[in-house]
Amino acid sequence: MTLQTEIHTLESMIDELENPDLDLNDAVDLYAKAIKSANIVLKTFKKTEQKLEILQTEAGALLNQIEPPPNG
Amino acid sequence: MTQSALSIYALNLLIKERLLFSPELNNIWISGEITSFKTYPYGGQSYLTLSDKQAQINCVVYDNTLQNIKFKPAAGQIIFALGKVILFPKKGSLIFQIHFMSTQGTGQLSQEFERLKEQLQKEGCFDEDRKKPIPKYPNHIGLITANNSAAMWDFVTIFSRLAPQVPITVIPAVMQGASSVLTLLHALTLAANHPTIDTVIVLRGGGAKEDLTVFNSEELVRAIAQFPKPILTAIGHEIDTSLSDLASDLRCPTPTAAAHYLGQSFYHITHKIIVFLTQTGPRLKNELDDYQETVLNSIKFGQKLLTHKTVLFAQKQSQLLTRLKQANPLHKLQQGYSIIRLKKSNKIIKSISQLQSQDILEIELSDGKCEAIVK
Repeated sequence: MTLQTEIHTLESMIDELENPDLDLNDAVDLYAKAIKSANIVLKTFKKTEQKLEILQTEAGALLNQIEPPPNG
Repeated sequence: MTQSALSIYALNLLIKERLLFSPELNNIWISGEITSFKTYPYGGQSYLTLSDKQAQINCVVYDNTLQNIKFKPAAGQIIFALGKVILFPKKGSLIFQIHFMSTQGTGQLSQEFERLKEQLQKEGCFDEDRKKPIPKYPNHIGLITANNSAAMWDFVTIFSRLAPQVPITVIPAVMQGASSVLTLLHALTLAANHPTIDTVIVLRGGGAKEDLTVFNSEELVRAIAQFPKPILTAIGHEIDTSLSDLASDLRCPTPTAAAHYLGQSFYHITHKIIVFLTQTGPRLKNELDDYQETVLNSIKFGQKLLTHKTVLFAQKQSQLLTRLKQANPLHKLQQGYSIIRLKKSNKIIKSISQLQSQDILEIELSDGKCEAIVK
């Protein structure tokens, strides 16, 4: 599941939670699910951020190779 | 003994004197075929060679003699010549000085040449459709010629300049005289059986017409006509065409022309490649620079895009977490609200109509529960 999809799922759950007609029992269950989903989103985001960091470093090195900085 | 020895010059003078006073060698008629004839416009004299089957002699005829005869001497004519034998003492060379001459028609050698030419032509030895194509890019040249001759070096020098990568194997042969036919036939056999030679050339520089007669030998002409590999001939000068030339797959007028013919394709392709590389190098450099620029921009754009997307995701995530926190169903209890359930059914009471007197209620607060009775 992509980060985008995970966020979308979480968002749908929060929308539902915000519904005033939602039964409390259901709200608690849904809240538990939403917390779980939020954790997944946080983990995926963290992983994506790490990947991005590596990519940025590689891209920087590549750029230096193609177009060395003026003093380098 | 040494005191009585003659000098060479004295000897030659003595021979000249004997010749001059020898009636057998003065004012005599001789007959033979003109096998070469050369006129020197400023010398007032012409030189010719008279030949028969066994021998030949060099002759000189002066312009005033030529003006008195009724025909124009040319190679191939049989003539009768009146003259005397003289010796040039300095060189020791003998020459027949012609005072008068008359023609007797086409000579025997010429007749024999024409007869053989006609016969071989009828047999198809000179047919164009049996000639093999000369390879555009030969792999290995077999050069049949006199070893170390000027013709050989002419060919090798020019061809090596045009196609230095193509090996040339010289197969030496005697190119004039009695033994030449045998050595030429042997050289042809060697060239035919050589495993890598794919193009053969028979080469001989210019010379007197009678020196080139070997290339009209029936045996040699047939061997060339039946030769299994592409074969070229470059014999004598441009004006000399032998029967071997007619039988070969291609006749080149001179050794130099043969070298140019065989090497030209290599030269042209090399030249084309050089021009292509010269022109393409800078063009490719520009294209590469453009590509590099595109790659550079793509990487930079990708970096920006990813950073932007990350920021958006982070914002969205933070927004959702805030909303999630607020959507916590227990959050309301902390604000002072409570949840009331009917104890016996555990149902949440949302309306007064759900209640009866003496019903026991369970009240859930943010930090605990308590019970109450409806009155």
